[in-house]
Amino acid sequence: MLRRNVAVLLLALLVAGCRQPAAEKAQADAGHPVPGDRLVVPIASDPPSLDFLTCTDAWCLLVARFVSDSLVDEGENLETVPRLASSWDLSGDGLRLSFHLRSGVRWHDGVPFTSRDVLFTYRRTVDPASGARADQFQEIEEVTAPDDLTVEVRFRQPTVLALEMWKVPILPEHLSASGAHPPDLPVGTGPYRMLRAVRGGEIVLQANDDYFLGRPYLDYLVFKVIPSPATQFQALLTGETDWSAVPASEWKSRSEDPGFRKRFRTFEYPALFLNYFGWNERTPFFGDARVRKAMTLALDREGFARTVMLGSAVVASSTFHPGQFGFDASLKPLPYDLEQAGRLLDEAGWKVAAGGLRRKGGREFRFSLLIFQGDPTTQQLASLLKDSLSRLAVAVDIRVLDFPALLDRLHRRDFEAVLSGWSLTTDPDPTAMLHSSPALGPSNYVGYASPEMDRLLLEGRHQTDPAQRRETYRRIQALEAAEQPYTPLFFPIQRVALDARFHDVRSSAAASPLRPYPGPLRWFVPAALQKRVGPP
Amino acid sequence: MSGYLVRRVIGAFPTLLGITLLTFLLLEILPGREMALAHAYPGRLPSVETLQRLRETYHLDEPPARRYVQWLLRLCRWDLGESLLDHRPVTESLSAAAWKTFVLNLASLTLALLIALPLGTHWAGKAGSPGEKAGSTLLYLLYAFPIFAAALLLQHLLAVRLGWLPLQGVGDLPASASGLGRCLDFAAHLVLPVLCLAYGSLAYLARFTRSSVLEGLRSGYVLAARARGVDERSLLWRHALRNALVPAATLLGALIPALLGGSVFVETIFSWPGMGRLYFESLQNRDYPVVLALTVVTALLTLAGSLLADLLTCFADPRIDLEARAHVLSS
Repeated sequence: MLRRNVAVLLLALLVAGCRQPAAEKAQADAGHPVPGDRLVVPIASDPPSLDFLTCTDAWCLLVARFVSDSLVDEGENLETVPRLASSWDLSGDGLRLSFHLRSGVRWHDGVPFTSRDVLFTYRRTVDPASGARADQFQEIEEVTAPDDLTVEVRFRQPTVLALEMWKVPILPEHLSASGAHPPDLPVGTGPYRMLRAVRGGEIVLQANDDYFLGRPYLDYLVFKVIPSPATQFQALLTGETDWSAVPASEWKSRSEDPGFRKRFRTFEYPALFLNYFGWNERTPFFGDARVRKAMTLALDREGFARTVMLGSAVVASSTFHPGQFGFDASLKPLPYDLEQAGRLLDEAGWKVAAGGLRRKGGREFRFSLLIFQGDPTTQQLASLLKDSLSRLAVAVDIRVLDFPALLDRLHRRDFEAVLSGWSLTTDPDPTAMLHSSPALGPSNYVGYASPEMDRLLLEGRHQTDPAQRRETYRRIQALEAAEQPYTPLFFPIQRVALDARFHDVRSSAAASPLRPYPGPLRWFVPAALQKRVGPP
Repeated sequence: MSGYLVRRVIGAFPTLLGITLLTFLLLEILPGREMALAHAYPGRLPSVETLQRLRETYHLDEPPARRYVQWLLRLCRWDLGESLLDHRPVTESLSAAAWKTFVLNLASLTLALLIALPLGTHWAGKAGSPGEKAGSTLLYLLYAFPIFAAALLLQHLLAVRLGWLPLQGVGDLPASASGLGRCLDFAAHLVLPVLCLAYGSLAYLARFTRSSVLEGLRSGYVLAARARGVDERSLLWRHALRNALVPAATLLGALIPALLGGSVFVETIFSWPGMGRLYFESLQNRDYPVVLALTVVTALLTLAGSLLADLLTCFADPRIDLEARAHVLSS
């Protein structure tokens, strides 16, 4: 039902995109794109660091997309598009990949960009001392640079992630070679150069006149630190910023308000993020798939998405996102069925003891659930689980921890159940969450182990034929549904608004309009509508 | 007097040492330090090797006692170390945040005092009248009004609806703008958070002043002055109020550390990069050098504040003999 609603919504969005009333007319009047104006985007906190090699937080990665370039990137339909590499060849056996780099590209300080920078980025990433995340490169045997504009990658075995893994910022060899810490203002080849970064204030980027695709139209990008989501939305209304997430409680009234629709364009898309309950299979409770399935059946996820989350979520059927390759739309999320849940618990040997909780072999079915502090939805989901399970004579003790403390417990496998979330990538490969080996499944802290799943995961990773790979992923999703290593909950629907003076903004079904490449580099403001003039 | 001062300052050292030791120990047993250092998240837990490397990099393998002593020795040279997160000197982020919080708190305290002192005194003179009763009730309500609701209301009304004041942040003008322009811009940005912080303490201080002045009005010296024919107005504003200032001095001493104690809520909703958020975020990120430095500064200010309160009391009321009090306390 909800999925259908989302389909309708997406369709409505497409139609809305076609109508796009005031903006479209103004664009026709405005003629061709002109440079000028700036885009102000709120960010919730200062990036802890601006070291593009090691940073993992969303804001640093967002800045990195404008200051630096990757070899390849994602286009509007999540397809792979050229960036620093103008083209590439993958050998028939899938073991050799050659990138042909753009010529004439220069770093912001004027030094020419060459294949040595790519080589340097690779070596720094896989050097354990750098502290960078290197697991995406684990299938690489060797990277070489036969000449200044060619990079050759040799793989140990064919991999579907051959291009995906190169969507990382390329770093300047000539600057990073000496110092241990990167400079305060990172240098890239990207469409914008770093002008300043004021802690607790703003990060200001200035258009790069020498960008290889041509100078972007917007003179400056400003990322303003505004920690409170409520203030972020108010700041959009006062015109201090041009972009904001729209709170779920405001969405309905605002999207029906003609005044709001005139000033802002809205976008919605299911975020590449999944909340889930993880069940630690090493505990006496959750080793049995029937018990895990009963947990999922006991939750009214549709009802929660509709009422508490005001429709701003898509119920998940597995760890696969509707926008990802291989998503099986025919697989429905498990229904809300307390009766079946109770039967499964009975079958698994957890019988209701007289007047009390379910028991098995003298043990009460009472477990603790770890949740993160701070997020109201998290608290509400934990209460939903507690209430639902109390009807099945199962008790839940909710334990609230702060982020590092909770991660510490997961890392030590010291938990019974956890409510957590994953940021997903465009490629669906779920090996890290589901594979039983510590090396291949570092995030499989629930201890799920299935030889069948392990085999399918590795198959999917190395199948370069899309049809075969799709079939493998269909079977992975079916196996997930049957065994419920996690109870997948929701993909939150992101709802954002952008000032309507920006033109040539394209929506994407699965990502923020800020995300695709070249995306925002095409945005412009017609001369008559330009609002923020001069340097910030 | 000076002997008293010296004893007080020397006596403060063990307290300070105890506070730092306790904080250090608390941070030691707080789980998750390695996770924060590794920038971990659920989809990316660090490997055992990564953790080992982190412990070596940050000398976490050394015994805690040794790290504590090293930290103390550096503190003696006022070297607060550098942030584990951005590798900048702690003093840098500390002074940036302290300055912002200080201005905000000083402005809101001044505003609150400027209104609370005359208002409280006025109401003390009119004690029992219907106007005073209504005013007191209003103050009670104001004191109980939740700050998050006030902040959102003020923002919505004055910034979004009316557009009179900036919504958030510390200033919009570029560095190229004139000094005066930037000062005015900063002042405009100060208004909403100051109002938010001031109304609660205003209610509290006004009630405090009212009860102190009332107490003064009922005392013997006011009765004597009234008998001498001093008019009611000067009785209230000169005699009673002045005596009411003695407890107010004590209160001010306690408020000094609070001047640098940021409110996480107000700083978050108004995007004000002050001490509250610095403390909160450093703790969330397990950035221990920053947390320890903040603790030391707060502890120092608290100790200085209580000393200052004693001295102020002594000046306000020369009959109070600190020497004798110290003797009584120590015997």
